[in-house]
Amino acid sequence: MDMVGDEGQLYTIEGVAAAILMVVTAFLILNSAYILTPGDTHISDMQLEQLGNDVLRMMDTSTSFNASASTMYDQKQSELEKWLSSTDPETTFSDDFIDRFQDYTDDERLQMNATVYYWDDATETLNTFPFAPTSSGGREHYVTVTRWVYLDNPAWDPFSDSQTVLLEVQLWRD
Amino acid sequence: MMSRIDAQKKTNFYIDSSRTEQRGILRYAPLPIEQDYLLNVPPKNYSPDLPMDNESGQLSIDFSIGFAIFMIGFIFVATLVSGLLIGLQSKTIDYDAVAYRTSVILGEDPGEPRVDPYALNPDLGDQPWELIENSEEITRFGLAISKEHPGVLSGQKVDRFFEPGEFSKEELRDRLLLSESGQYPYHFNVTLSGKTPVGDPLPESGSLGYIRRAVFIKDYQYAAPSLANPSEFVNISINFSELQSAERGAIYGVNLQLEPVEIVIVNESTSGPVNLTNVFLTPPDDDSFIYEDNIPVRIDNAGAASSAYGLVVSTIEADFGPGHFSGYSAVGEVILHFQFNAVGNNLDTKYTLPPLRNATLEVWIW
Repeated sequence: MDMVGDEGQLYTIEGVAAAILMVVTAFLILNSAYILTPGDTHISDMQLEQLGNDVLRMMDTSTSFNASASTMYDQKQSELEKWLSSTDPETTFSDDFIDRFQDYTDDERLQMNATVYYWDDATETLNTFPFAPTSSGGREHYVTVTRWVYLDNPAWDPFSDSQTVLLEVQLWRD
Repeated sequence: MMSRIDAQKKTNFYIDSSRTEQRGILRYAPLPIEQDYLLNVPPKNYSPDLPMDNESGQLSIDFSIGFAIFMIGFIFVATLVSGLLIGLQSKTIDYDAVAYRTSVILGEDPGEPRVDPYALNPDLGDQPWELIENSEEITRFGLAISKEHPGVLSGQKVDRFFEPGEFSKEELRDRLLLSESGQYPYHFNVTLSGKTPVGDPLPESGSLGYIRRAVFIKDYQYAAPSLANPSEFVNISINFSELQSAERGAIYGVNLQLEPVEIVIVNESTSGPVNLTNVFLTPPDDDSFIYEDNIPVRIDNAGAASSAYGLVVSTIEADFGPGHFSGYSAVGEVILHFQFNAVGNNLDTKYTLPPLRNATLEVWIW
């Protein structure tokens, strides 16, 4: 009389061992890969972001004291405040801004795209000034730095109100 | 007749009664106990003709132990290897973090000891680190003017910090918090545009922590308009009440107690060298009254300042160290008078701080 084979026993244990091996291997690979990937991009992002913040702070600091100005704001008015308060910042601002950025960072490869968010009194809405990007090429990795800039009676504001605008700059290297 | 199974239960043996009867002998077939009791059925490989020697269904104990030891070893090694990789990777992250920390200490902190320029009742005896001769009394280097103005470096601090040979490598490492006891002592290299780097020379290879910061430097040397024509004298007004005014603050003002005042006059006269005869300080309204006479100056980048004046080919430099004008604060304004032995256009000008200069600060750590 023939009975059903009991090789099943061995197969079960082999299967369990193989499964454990596979799970452990997969776990190790995923685990080590997870640790290894983030390092570089994360750090270089941080470095570029810090540099961008440094430059925005420098641009928002006047390089000299204007003793002949009447108000304290004008005496220490920064380049950024001057640019953003001018009649038509959209066209006058961008070239100087990019040049100054590359000059302050001493990095010609730096490319950027800047946007200003402001409150439009006429329409009572939040509006933006977009600035042309330095290059339209594919940028796959950029960081964003922002700075709030206080403008005392900017020329473009029909009601001559003071307001704090948000300057947002996307930075990347070519 | 007792059934086979019943017999098995009792004796743990199979008794093949038919064969026994036939051949007149008893044949035993030993059975594994567990199979016997667990399954309660006859083993499949039981053959009435052969002893049960085929046990391929069983997992050998040797194999189990071997496999277990292998698995334990494998898991141990695998864990160890991934741990090694984590260690290697976190090293550079660590270097970058230390580089960032060092850049913050240098670029955003005034160092220690420091004097708060906005203190309401400053202690006149306090000295910031850049004025302390004995480097053992310096706790920490920091190049910022004050905590209120991160990223604006003091030209004075920059000059002292980057002066070649001023501080030893150990002092720099210690005061930049790169060698605390029980910690890995870091190698470092700090560069500021236009200055000789301090620290260790950069290695050819290996992982480095790096950061670049954009900063302003507040210089203190006033370049007077150059002498284009022969002049009888040059008057430079130094207005203390204006330079120390509250609205100028620490960036655009001069703290006479702590900051130097330097003036440079460049000779670009077409008629060649000019003959300097005297340099003195006088009130703005009465040049017959003299506060200080025969003020030492450096002529043509001479090594030391001297009051033995004479022919000036290229430059005259008058350096007043910190505290020189402290006694004059009540006066409000003085005139620094350069007297030449010539007849020509006189020059009246005013001491002003040069505009903030941009620079990049770079820190490498390994």
